Amino acid sequence: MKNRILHILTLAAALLLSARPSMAQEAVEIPGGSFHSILPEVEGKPLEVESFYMDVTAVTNSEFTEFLMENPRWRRSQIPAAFAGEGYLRHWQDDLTPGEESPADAPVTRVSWFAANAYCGWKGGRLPTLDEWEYSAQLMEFDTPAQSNAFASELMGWYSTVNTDNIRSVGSTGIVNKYGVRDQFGLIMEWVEDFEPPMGSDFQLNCGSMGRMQQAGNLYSYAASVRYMTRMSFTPQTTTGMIGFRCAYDAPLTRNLYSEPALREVLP
Amino acid sequence: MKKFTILLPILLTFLIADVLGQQPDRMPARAEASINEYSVYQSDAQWTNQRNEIVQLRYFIGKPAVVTMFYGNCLQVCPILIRDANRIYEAVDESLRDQVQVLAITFDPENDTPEALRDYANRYELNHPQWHFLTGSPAPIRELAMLLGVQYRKDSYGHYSHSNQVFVLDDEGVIVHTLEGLNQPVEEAAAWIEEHLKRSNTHNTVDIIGKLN
Amino acid sequence: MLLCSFTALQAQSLEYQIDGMTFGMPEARVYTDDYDGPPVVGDYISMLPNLVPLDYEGNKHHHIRMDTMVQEIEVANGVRYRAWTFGGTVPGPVIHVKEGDRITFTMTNRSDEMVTITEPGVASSQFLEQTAANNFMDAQPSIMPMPHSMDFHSGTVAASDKWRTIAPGQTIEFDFVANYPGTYIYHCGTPSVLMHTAMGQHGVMVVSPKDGYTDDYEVDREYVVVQSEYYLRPGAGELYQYDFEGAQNVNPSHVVFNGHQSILHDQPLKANAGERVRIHFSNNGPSGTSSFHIIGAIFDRVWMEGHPFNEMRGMQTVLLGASSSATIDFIVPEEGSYTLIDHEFADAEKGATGTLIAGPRK
Repeated sequence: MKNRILHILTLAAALLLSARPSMAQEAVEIPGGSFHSILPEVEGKPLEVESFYMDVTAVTNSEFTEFLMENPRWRRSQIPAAFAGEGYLRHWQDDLTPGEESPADAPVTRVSWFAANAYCGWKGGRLPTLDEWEYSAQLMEFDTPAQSNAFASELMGWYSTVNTDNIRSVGSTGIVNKYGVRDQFGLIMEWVEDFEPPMGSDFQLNCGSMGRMQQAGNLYSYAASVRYMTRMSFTPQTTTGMIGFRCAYDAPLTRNLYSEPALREVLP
Repeated sequence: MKKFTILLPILLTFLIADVLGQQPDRMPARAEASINEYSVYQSDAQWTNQRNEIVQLRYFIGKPAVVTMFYGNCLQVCPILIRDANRIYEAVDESLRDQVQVLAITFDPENDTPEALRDYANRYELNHPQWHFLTGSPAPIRELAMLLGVQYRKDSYGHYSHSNQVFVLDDEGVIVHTLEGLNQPVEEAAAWIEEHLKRSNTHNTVDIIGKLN
Repeated sequence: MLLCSFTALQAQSLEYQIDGMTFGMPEARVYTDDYDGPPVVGDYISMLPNLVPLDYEGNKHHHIRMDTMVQEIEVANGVRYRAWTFGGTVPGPVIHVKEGDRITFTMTNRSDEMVTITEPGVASSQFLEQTAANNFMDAQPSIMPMPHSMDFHSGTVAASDKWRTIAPGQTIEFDFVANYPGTYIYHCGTPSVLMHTAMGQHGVMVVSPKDGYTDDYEVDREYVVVQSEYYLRPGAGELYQYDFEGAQNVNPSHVVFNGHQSILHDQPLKANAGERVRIHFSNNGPSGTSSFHIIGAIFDRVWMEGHPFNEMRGMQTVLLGASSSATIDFIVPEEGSYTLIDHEFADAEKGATGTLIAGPRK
């Protein structure tokens, strides 16, 4: 009997999982709030983040293919060197075919920051800012500090075992924040709008900064330090097998900060 | 100068095609083919200058440019960046100076409207025809900063922390010289511009291979 | 062709001399290219425990390439993990230069690329010939794109320039002069430096003194032995993975000589009774100490850090902190087998032992 209930539950879960593709399109609202960034504006003071929307999952190979269909200049064969290194989508079969190694519902990787930025613009959104992404990432519910530390420890393990040959589908990690944003850890690393924030001249990417970036021996902030520094070492042309992205949207959706007026005069 | 008059009609053709096309991502391929793939003028985005003129970055192809990024409410560092750009500009021989473009791009499109940029240019007596104080949408501003290697981040007071650089771009928009930090010597940058202008004024043709080196 | 070059962080230094040593190296270059050649290139580079003899008079300008890439390797019987490496092994290749030599070092971050070290095909270094002939770690190329950097303890330069972190796909190139003789570790200095070194990014450069260690005798054999710790725990699949908590608490899963728990037993050092053997011993850490001893021998002479001025005699054990070394000469007393050991027995029982097999006196 017990087994039968388990079986039904498993089936129900499988059904829920199979309904996921539509979810890949969704964005959810992340209500504004504050969090303790490892790069605070003022030491010890939390950073405020305004409400915004963010994609539930990372952009997939099939979604990125659609973008390339409509935007030829971002195809592998046409992208200018200023926008991406040699490795751009190099694991794809050709310009518009992700190929067998890149399942349709797995996150697109080996995309440069420029391509990610262009994709999100095409979607009517933008890349999340570093603070938005990190704010969302830490909105997870743990019952005890021990659970949180165990999670952070897993995270460190993950940073040492990323397997770019076998990137699973979006939504598959089971890691989800309290508003439904999935896979911010455990799948890929993600581009953010300002991945390389300006640093004071006294701050360098060295072993001393690990200690300075950590708060009170908090393991989560230790893992975050590794993530920040890894991201900061990228160039916007960097394309690796572990970087993908998701998009964010201003709240309310589709707000356009600076509308483009019609062309009035020709320059020069 | 001759070279530029040759380029201009070509540029105009692309431009008109763009306007008719209406959709920036459906630009005719030949327009893209004309841009050096290392150029920072890749973007299709539209920008507005202090004279309320709309411009795409590719319009600046054809002349060398001095480029910096700043924002109007920055009262301490940015005026020095603008002054550094102007120091390069003024160090170029007067007879060649009208062939040098200066682009100052804002981090802060919310406050730096074309009008605010005009006031800014007037305040520093830099509202010259070849000076462009430019504003645009946030994503293209960030994209241009990424192409240039400029870092910036808005703080909770509406100010921006940012790196301080002034660039010299060749007439295809490829970075050929960078001043890192404030108040750096400008002689080398100005000398490059002068030499380049003298050379290209004599030759008429764009020596693409020479520029990649 | 260079695809993009990066702007100057500081003005180029001017070269100058103090006490016959050279300082003031040109600024490092960071660039992107499409290099796909051999990952280790240089004339005096070998696999542990070997040291390529220096066959030149005076000083030499070395051009050395050592790329960083990921290899799945065995570190103990049944224990494999995907290591972050210099040159493809843990520890990385042994680089041999002479005091006063200049080195132009090039490193491409190939962590997002499959790089094979076991089929060299190109005579680019003795190291690659040796790994191809003796692939005891059963190295398989793998991909794990991460930022990395190179910090040579044998270099005296501005770390903010030369030891800069580079992204996958980038290359860094810089010069330095090996001003001080000794055995110096090199390692990745990218945060978390604990994680990067524990994942395998370390090795040694032996800088031989220009006038040698002693005129009293010639050594018969010269070896390099490196002690280091692994912090591993079983991962999701068959592979092991980094044990973050173990690393933070300095509780290694394995403490090893030359990167593998049993390699110095499976492939023991060789000598004959009555011979003088020199071992350049380095404790690469990342966090532990080593009390190096050879059971049945007394160290005749020990030069701490491998500097000929730091001579000690008649030592039973040499205590070395993380990133410290000693050059050790001893006389092999008689035919038989001798155990090299970290006399901190907790470390010894995690693997820090090895064997020297001595043949009869000749």
